[in-house]
Amino acid sequence: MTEPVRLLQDENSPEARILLAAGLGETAPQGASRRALVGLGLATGTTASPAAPSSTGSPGGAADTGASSLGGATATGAVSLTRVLKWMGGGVIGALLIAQAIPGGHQPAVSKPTSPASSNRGTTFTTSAPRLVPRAPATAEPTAWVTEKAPLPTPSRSSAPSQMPRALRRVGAPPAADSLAAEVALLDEARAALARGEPTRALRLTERHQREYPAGRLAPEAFILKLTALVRAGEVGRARAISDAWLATHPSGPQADRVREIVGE
Amino acid sequence: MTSLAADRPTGAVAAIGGARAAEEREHRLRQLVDQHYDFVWRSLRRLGVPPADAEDAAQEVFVSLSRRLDDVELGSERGFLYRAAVNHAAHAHRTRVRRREVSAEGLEERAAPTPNPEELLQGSRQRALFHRALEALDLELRAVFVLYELEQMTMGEIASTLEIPSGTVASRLRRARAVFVERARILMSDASGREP
Repeated sequence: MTEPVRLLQDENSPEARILLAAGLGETAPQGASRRALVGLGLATGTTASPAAPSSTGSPGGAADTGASSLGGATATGAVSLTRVLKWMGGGVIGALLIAQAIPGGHQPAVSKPTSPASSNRGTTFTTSAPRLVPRAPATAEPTAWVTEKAPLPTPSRSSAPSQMPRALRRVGAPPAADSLAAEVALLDEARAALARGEPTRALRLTERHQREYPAGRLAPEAFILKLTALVRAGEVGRARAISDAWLATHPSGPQADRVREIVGE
Repeated sequence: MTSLAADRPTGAVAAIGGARAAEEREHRLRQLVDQHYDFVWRSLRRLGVPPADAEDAAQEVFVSLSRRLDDVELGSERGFLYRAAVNHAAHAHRTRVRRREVSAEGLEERAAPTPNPEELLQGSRQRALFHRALEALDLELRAVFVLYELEQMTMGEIASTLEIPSGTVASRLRRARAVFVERARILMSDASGREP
């Protein structure tokens, strides 16, 4: 079976790429998985699951405690306790009632191992499927990433959601997926900085993206962000210079139109 | 708290296999929540469940898994969870459609003003457009599209996950990609105001 080029890597569909990349960054709310454990009556202790992050070396600041939202069942703050009570009081019972009142209502058929539907690889999708989504870099959610021991190149304010590890590695995931997720995380940071009115910080992040992922799959998006950051930071001349160079080799297309829009501001 | 724990579906297993079996079952379930919660949550969102409902929906999906855990083969849990998410999304969609027939509140969101180019650069705005582009896909197309384009599964893995023939995966993916690409182009174009 021929597999088409995935749209996230398809140069011919820039709009689809941009939207898909934006969609990659959406993650579950902080503590949701733990609330689910509570709802299932399982949050009585820590877990030794291989998916539970260690959070070692987390550079999180005040807003990012570095606590695991998956495995840690000990640190329950006032807010999450409220949510827990919500689950205990309503959600769980309701869900159980629904599940029992409508047998099979939301339940798919159970596959049997005697009928393998795929012969593509020896591994199952459960272990081989890459997980691409970083854990909410823009909302200061405790990350489920395992950080490599690489120091951040620049000090930053603890309140900013800028503390994403320089190198990110998801346990058990292929490097390609890690790289894409890290790119998304970095650019989400840059977007957030722009939205907060911190163009110089956004500029630093996009330049970091260019340094660390010179052939990154989100290089076009990083370029657009960098231009915007430059313009907002008042460096219009520099923005025009690099956009002219870029437009010389990419004179047409939606991306070129956007580049002209930005530097024409 | 403990009385609720005693009432949950593990009781059936405990009666059959004893306390140790129940413990192993709990351990397995806990690991599955740890490993797959994010996958389930984001899948529900991408399948059209609104953000405010996604957490409750994810909970229901795991309750479904809990009730059927003994029938679910090791290694096939992720597929079970995804199919449960698809079923939930289908059910939730029908409910929303019915509500919309009574009240037009759902239309207000769609009629939100289009963003300017600066707003386009913000992840949240692009994400909103991402979901609107996905809305153009029927659920059966979307279920395939999400696994291929966002979860980066192979087509063989998707056939296995959804328990449908490989040829069906290929044809749904082809249609879904064509629709999504076109929809994304129109949405981005509209949003930046270059075209009507």
